[in-house]
Amino acid sequence: MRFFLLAALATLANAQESTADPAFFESRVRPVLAAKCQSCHGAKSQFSDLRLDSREAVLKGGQRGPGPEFIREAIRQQGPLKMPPGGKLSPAEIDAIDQWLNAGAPWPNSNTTTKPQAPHWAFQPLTKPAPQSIDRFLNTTPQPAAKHTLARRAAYVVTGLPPKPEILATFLDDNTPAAWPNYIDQLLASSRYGERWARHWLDLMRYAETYGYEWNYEIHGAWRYRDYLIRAFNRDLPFDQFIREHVAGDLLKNPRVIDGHNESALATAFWRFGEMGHDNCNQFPEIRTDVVDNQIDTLTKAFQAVTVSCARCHDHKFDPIPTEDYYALYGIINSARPIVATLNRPRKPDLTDLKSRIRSELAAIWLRQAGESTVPVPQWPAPSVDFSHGLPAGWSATGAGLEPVKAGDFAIAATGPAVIDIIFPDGLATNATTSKWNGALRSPFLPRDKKYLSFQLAGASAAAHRTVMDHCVIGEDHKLIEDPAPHLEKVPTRNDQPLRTYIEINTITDNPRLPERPGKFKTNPDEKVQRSWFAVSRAWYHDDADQPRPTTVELRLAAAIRRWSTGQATDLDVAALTQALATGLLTNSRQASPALARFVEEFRATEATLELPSVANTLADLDPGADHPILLSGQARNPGRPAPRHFLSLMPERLRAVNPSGSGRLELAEAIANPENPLTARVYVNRVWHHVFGTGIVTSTDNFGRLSDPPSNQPLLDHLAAEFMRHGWSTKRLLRELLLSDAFQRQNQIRRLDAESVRDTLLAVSGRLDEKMYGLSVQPHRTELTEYRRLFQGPLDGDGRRSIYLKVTRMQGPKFLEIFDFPAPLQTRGNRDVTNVPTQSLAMLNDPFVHQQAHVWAEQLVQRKDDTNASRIAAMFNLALGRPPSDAEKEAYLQLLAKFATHQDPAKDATAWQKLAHTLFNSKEFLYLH
Amino acid sequence: MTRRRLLQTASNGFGYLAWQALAAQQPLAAKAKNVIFCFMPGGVSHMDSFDPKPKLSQLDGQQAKLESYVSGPKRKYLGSPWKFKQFGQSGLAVSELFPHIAQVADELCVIRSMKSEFPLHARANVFLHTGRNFGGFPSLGSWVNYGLGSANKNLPGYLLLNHGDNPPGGLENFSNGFLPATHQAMSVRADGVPVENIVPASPDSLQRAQMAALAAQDQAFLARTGHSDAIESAIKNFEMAYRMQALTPDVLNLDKESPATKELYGLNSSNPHQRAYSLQCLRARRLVEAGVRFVEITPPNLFGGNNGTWDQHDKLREGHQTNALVTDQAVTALIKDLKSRGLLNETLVIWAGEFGRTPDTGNGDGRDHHPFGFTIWMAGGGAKRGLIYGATDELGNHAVENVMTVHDLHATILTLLGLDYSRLTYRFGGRDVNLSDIHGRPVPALIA
Repeated sequence: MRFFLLAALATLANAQESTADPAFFESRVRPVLAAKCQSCHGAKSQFSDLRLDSREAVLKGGQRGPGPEFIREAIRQQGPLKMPPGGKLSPAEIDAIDQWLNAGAPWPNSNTTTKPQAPHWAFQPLTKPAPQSIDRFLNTTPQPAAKHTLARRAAYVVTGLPPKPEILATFLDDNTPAAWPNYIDQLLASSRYGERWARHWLDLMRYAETYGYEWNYEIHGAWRYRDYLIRAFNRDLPFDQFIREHVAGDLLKNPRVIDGHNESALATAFWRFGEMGHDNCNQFPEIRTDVVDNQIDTLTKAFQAVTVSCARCHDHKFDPIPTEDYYALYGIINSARPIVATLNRPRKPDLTDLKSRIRSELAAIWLRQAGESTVPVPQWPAPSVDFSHGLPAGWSATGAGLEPVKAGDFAIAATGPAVIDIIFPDGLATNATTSKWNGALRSPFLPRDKKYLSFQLAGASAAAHRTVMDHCVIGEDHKLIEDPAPHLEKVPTRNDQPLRTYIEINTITDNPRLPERPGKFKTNPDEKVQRSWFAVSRAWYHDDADQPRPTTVELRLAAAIRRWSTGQATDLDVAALTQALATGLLTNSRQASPALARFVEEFRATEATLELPSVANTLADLDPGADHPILLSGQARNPGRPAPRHFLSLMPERLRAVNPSGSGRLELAEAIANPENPLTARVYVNRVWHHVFGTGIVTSTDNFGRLSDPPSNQPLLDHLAAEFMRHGWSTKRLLRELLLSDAFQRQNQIRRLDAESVRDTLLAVSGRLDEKMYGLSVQPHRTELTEYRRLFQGPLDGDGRRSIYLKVTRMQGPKFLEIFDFPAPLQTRGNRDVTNVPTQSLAMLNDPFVHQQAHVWAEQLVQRKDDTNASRIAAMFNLALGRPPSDAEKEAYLQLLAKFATHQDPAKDATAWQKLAHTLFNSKEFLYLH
Repeated sequence: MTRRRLLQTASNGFGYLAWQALAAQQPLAAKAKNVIFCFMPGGVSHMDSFDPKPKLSQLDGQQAKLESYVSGPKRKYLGSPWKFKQFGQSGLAVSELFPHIAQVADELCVIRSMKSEFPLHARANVFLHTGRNFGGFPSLGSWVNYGLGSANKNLPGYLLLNHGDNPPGGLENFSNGFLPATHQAMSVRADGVPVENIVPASPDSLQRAQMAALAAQDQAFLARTGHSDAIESAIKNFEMAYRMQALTPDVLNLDKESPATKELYGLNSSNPHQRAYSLQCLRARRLVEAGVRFVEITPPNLFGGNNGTWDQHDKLREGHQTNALVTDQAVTALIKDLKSRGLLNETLVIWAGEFGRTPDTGNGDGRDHHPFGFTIWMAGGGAKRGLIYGATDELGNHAVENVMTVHDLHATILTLLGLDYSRLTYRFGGRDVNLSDIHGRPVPALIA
C-alpha cells in the first residue's frame, strides 16, 4: 500500500494547473525562459541589465524598469521592443508567461544548489560499524534450507548453471563443516563463474553488438569486451582497477597486457555500446548529444547509481546535481574521439632480405625492358600537409600496419599474378608488410578556411576516407578508395557548418561504418575479405579555384630503375615506375623469371602465416581537452556558456578537479575508483548482494539518490563496502563471504531463473552444452533473415554455446532470451524485470528449442544400459532439479512413461523419454530456485 | 520477491490496481474503451491525401523556396498528382487516393496541424509511439493497458498485427519500457503461424497427460515453498498458456465471419497484400470485441526498403497509389463494421504516420520527410465526428493553426479513454514519468 500512497502523493502535484503550482512553472514557464530568454538574460549575459533567472531578478528588471512592466509587451511584439529576437513565442507560451507574471512571477525553489537540504546518506562518507560477521547485522530466523536446495541455489548464483553432478555428489556426501566452503570455492574457481558475472555486468553496460536505429551497423569488436569481462571476473581483477580500465583504460601508464593485447584499453569499449544513428550530425546534431547523454547516463548509473542525465535540461530536481555537472562530464567525454582501436601488434617477420632480392630481380628484368624510354611524370607543388617525414603535428595514426615508408619501398601482392600492389612514394602506408594489417590516419580538427583537403593517396579493397562531424562516426560522409596507384582524392572539409570536423582514412576493419548497408555503394565490399590497404603521401587544403595542379617532367625510365634498385629512388622515380607498370611498359608478372616466381612464392608463404590484428570500437584522447557549452533545455542547437570540466559537485572536493590541459577522463576514473568516493563501493557491493539474495540492500540498484529506496540496513551496507575496499576490491572474496553467511543459507528465496540460466540449463541438462569460451558471437536463432538490417539467422541451439555468446543484435535480440526478460540494451539495467507471463509457459510448452533439447537428452538416456526406468527417472530429477524424485513423482513419471511408450521396451523408446524430459522441463521447479 | 515487485511483474493485470488506486480519486468520463491504431509507417503525404493545396499545384515545377533541412537550389514545388473532392456533410476534402475512406468522411476527426520533431523514421516512429525520441519508454498501447487493465484474462491487452517485420525503431515502438512486462505488445502476423509458440507442439492428449502429472508435482513444490505467490502465479500462467493455445487462434479465426463482412474488408481481393492487410483489420475488430484494449495494425512493407512502406522519396504517384489500394478499403470497412455493431462509440480508431511529406521535391517525382505540419485522423471512441481541426500554411509546409504536437495527441487519446494524462504515471529513474511528458495537453475541441 505504501507504494500506492507514494505514487499518489508524487503525482498529485502535477494534477493541478494553477499558476501558483510549481508544475505550472516547471512545465510551461521555465522551459520558455531557459530556451528563449536566458542566453541573453541569464548568468552569462545580462543584456539591458536584465536577468530572467530568478523571481527577484524578474521583479527588479533592468534598464527598462521592473520586468513585469515591459516583458508582456515585448513578447507580444506589438510595440517597438520585440522579444525574443528571431522568432515570436507561440500564443500558448505568451499566455503562460502572462499568467505567471500576473500571479507575481512565483519561482519554485527547485534549484537544489540553492535549497538547503538535510544531507542524503548516500552522498556522505561511509559510516564505520565495528568489524564483525555480516550475520550480526541481520536477524535470520528460518531454518537453513535443505542441502541440495542450497547447493542448487549457490550454483546458480555463482555460475548460472545447475551444479555438476560430481561436485554436487561430493558436497552432499561430505558432512564435515568444510563441505560448504569447499563447495563454494569449487564454484568460484570454475570458469563458468566469469561467464555468469560478466553477463550481470553487461546489463549495466547496455551491451550490444550492433548500433540498432535503422540499419543496425556493427559495433566492431564488441565481443572482445565481453571476453574481457569474463577474464576480469575469473581472474578476480580488483574492482578499482576494473573501473580505471573502463573509464580510461586507454590512458593508463601501465596497461594490463594479456597475450599481447592491451586489455586495459579494451575496457573503454563500454562507452561505445549505445544506440547510434547513421545520419550526418550537421543535419541532425541530436545524434551526437544523445550518444553522449547515454554515455553520461550509463557511467553515472552503473558506477555511481546517480541519475546525472536528469540534469541534461535543468538542474536535477531532487539530487544536488546542477546542469553544470552534466556538461562538465559532457566535456570530458567529448574530449575523446570514438575510434576503432588496435589492441595488439601481430608478430612482424623480417622480410628485408627477401624484398631486396625481389627488388634486384625486378630491376634486372625492368632494365632490359626500359631501353631508352622516357616517361612524363607529375611534379606537385609543395603540400599543406606532408606525410613523408612521419606523422605531422596534430595527426594521429593507429593500426598494426600503418607506418612510414620510403620512396621506392613496395608492397607485394598476396594473391594473383602480379608481383607488386604498389610502389610507395615517401609517406605512410598500411601494407608495407601485408595488406592483412590495418590502419587509420586521422587529421586534427580541420581549419575552417578551405573547402577541401585533397590527398595524394592510393588504396584498395574497401579502404575509405571519411569526414567525421562532431564525432558522429557512422555518419554518411565516406567514400571508398578504389585506385591502387597514387592519385589525388578530394575530401570535403565541411567548413560550411559549425561542428568540429576531422578526416579519417582507414582500412576496412578500422572503418566503423563498414560493413556498409545495402545500396550505399555501387557494390558493397565483401565482408569476408579482411585485406585492405592505403598509402598516403601529401595533402593540400584548397577551395574550388585553387585545386593543386602538377607540372609535368620527362624522366628517363632506365635511370629511375637504377636509382630504385639501389634504394635511391625519389617520388618522381616512383611515379615513373608506377606509370610504366600501369601501361605495361614494365612487367608486373611474377612469371617474368623463375627466380622471381620463387621469391614471390616464398614471400607469400610467410605472409600467409601472419595474424590479423584485433580491433574494437573504443575511445582515445587525440585532441586537447575542451569544455562543452551548456545546451539550454538540453537542445543541441541551443548552446550557452561553456561548463568547465570537473567531476560531480556532490563529491568530496578533492575528487572533483581535473587537469584542464588533458581531457580529464583519467582523473574521472581515479575519482570513481577512489576509496573516498562515497558511492562507488556501496553501489557495487549492493549490486553483488542483489545478485546473491535477489534483492539489494538498496532495492533501486541504479539509483542511490534522494528518490531511491532507503537501505534496509545501512550499517551492513557500509560494513560490506569498507571491507570490500580493505580486501583489495575483490569480488570473489565478497561473494564468498556472502555465500558462507548464515543469511544466505537460511534465507527463504523464491527466484525464477533468469533468461540465460533457463536456456543454459536446458543445454546443460540435455548434454548439449559446449563449454567453449570466448570468440565471435553466434547469431541468435530467428525464423526470418532480414539482411538489410543485419539480422542474420543462427542455429536453433546456438551451437550449444552459453547464452552470453549469443550475438546481441540490437534491433531484434535473441528471441528465446527476450521471452524471459533479457533486457533491451538501451540503458543501465541493474535490476532486471522478473516477469511471469503466459508467453514464457508457451515457450516451455511449444518452442522448438525446448523440444529439441528434450530430444537430445532422450537420445542419451536411451543409450544407458545399466539402469532401470525408475533409476533413470531419478537421474533425470537429479540433473534437472538437483534432487531425487519423491516416491509419488517417481510413480507418476513411470506411469507417464508407460502411457507415452509405443515400443515393446519403453527403456529404448526415445520418443517417450523425450516427452518425459519435456514434462520435467515444464515443472515450475525447473524454472525456480528456492 | 516482494509484494510490490510481484505487482509490477505478474500477469493478469495486477499493475492495473496501481492505477485504479489513483483513478478512484477523480474518475473521468470514459468514452473509448479500446483503441485500434492503423499506423502508416514511412509518412503519408498530407497534401496528397487530406490537406489539399491548390497553391502548390499553381507553383508546380517552380523553384521551391522553403527553409528546411533539405532546402537547396535544385528543389522544386510539386503539386499533387491527385484530384480532391469534398465528401459528406462535413465537406471534408479527400483525394482520389482514398475513395473508400472518403465514404466515411463524416465519421472522421481530421487533424491537419500535426507537428512532430524529427525528419527521421526511427526517431519519429518511436516518438509517435512513446512520446520520446529514443528507446526504453513505454508505448502508447502499453500505457493504455497499464491504465485500463485487461478486459480478457486469456488474451494479452496489446496486440500488434503485422506482417513479420517492424518499422524503423524496431520493437522499441511497441515496448512496455519500464512498465510491467504484461503490457508489452504481442505480435500477430498475417501469414503462417500468427503467434509465436501458440500452436501446440504436441497433441492435446499428450499435453493433458503432462498437465496432470505436472499439476501434482507443481502443487507439491508450491507447498514446499510455503505457498509462494510467485509460484502460484506461475502455475496459473501455465494453465492460461494451455488455454491460450486454443483460444487465441479461435479469436483470430475468421470462419464465423459472414461472406458479406469478408467482402466488405476486401478479403476476396486479387491483391495478396490487400488480403493480408484486410485480414489484420478484421482480426482487429474481433480482438477488440474479445476485450483486447489496444490493437495496432501495420501495413505490409511493399517496396522492400527499410523505412516504411509510405516512404516515397521517388515514384510518389506509384508508391502512394499502391499503398492506398492495399489499405483504403479495409480501414474504411473497419469503421463501417464497428459502427454497424455499435462498437465505434467505444473504439477509437487512429490513422497516422510518423510525419507527412515535403511540399517540394528534390528529384521531380518524390517527396521527403516532413514533420513540421501533416495530417492524421481519428474516428469513433468519443472523437468529434466530421471535424477538420487545424491547418497548415497555403503550401502545406508548416502547421500554422491550432498546432497539435505528438504530446498533445497522446494526452488527447488518454483523455478519450477516461485516463488523466497527468496522473497516469510510473516511477522510473527517479521520476514519475507519464506518456505526454511535461508538454502535452489534451485538446478539448477534438472531444465529442
